[in-house]
Amino acid sequence: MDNQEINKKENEEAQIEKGEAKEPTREELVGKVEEMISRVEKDHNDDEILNRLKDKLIHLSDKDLTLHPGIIEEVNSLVDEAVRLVRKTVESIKEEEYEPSIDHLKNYKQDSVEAQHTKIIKASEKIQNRFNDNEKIHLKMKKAIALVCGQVFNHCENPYALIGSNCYIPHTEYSAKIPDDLDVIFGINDYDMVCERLSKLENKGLISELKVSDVLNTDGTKGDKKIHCWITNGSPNEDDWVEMECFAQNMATQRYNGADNKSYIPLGDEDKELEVIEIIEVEARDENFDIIKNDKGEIVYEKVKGNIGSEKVARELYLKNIIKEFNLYNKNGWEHKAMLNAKALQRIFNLINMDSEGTEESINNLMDEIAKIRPKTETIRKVRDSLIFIWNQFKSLPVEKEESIGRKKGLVNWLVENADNGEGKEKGLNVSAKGDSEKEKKILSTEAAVDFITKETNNDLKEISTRSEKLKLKYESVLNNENASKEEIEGAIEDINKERTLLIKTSIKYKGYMDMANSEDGDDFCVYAAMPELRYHFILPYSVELVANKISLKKKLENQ
Amino acid sequence: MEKITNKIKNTEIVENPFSQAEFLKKASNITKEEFFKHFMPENPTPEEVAVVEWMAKDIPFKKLE
Repeated sequence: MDNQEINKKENEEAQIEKGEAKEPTREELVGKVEEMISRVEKDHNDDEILNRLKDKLIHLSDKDLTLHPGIIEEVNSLVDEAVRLVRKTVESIKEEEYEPSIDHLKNYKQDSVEAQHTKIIKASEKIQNRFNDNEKIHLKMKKAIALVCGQVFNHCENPYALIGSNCYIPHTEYSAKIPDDLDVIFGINDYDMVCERLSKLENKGLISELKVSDVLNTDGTKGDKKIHCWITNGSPNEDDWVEMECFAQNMATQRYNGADNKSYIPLGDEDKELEVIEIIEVEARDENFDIIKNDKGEIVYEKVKGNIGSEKVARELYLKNIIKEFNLYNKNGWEHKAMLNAKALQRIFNLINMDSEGTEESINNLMDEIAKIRPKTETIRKVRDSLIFIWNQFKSLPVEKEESIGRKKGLVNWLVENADNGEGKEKGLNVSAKGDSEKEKKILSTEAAVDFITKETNNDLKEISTRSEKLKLKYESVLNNENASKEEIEGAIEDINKERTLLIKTSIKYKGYMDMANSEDGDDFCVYAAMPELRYHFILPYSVELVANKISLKKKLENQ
Repeated sequence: MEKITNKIKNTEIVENPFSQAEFLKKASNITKEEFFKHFMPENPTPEEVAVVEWMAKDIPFKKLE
């Protein structure tokens, strides 16, 4: 969906609100019914309801094609009925199927308002199998999760959830990403208990470097409380350690009591679904965190369970982080330029990868999801406009077909074969698909390319930033020094020339990447997205600064 | 299987040392010709010429009278 379409939609919404909506055409009405049917199909498989709706649609198609008042009423009532049936059926399915899976939550307050907002279900076999795969989630990560869930978070009175990559990986079919840190959200009510138990674990040598801090909101006010530590599980080897960040959030109770900041993922405050996974079998521990042994002196083992966010929760996190990053960039003063930081690229790809639809539809879905966020603040508008701006920029790239393959090769495909991994290293990306599925190869290739570009753009942005600051100090000292010698001025000019050579080299690389991006292949979008603004916000101003200072230094030299 | 990095922190945003106002101000004092003269390396390769042109096309240079 582009800007124009969104604006049109918004105008229509505004017209409806004001009661100025024009009468829809018959085609629009039929389209609406079809949309409703697809919503019903998506939400459940009740053949009877679907058949009833489809019969009515066929009946409608048989009617006189000319628009008459009766048809509007009929379709409107049909739409209302579809909505009612969708709601009713979805609710009844939820009611029928919902069996809370909370036996692992020892102190969980089932009657709390937080629990009313949270559905905790057993993870499906598919999700559990993905989690079980030790190549997807390493054993040391599972041990770390088991320790903190079993000994700390399963004691929470309010809902908690693992988010981030440990939530993303079980919700994706293909990914080579391996979670290397652990992110948890939980209720502020449980904060003291969590701190106390983590401190005891630290005393037992099972975690280390426990630190607590306040997270600042973008407006500078205090937000969630953040706990950071390394889960060591008693190993002296740092390679075995897993980093953990957890966030104590305000939930419904705090909000009712006047807390005005809504947490990032408002768990226990808005309706959310969590999935319970069986993590791993580990040594059982008593209340002092000592390993339990039986009468024969043998270690007792127990299978630990834990909560992860549903796919919807995972999507919400990536979406909100993308919004935060766009918003932070815009605050830098280059309005409507939407510089994507490296992490944002990964997040966009992750969002797309979780979706079963094609990339182009997923990008449109992403725009739609942003457009649906309420309240519709200035930030949301900016973020949406920025994404549309970059997407349109991408779609307008020229497509010059390569004769040998009958299409443009595309940046992802080029990087898979030719990415420069540094001196002495083999070129290309390591993409190891297990099966023959083209979809798997494509997703893993895109993921590897996004990862490569993520590191590369991040490094180049830092490099340009650091080098330019250093050089600025140097030539400013020469320019401002009335007694600067000829040699000093020539030295400064030489430094600028050296910097120019480096900047040209970087620019050749990015020009090459941008020329290679194929706008007909949506997967190239995530790899391409950061580049136009890297060029505009870093490369171009730096080149102008170099030339401006070179001219000033040359003038100073002439006046000597 | 190559390890896909996860190590870039959420809050890691590279500070942009360049401001829009400075960029526009400096660019408006330089002509396109001066930019080419001072930025183009000696004996440039076709690739270098192409990239300098690629950079120059979106810089708001001083307009010649």
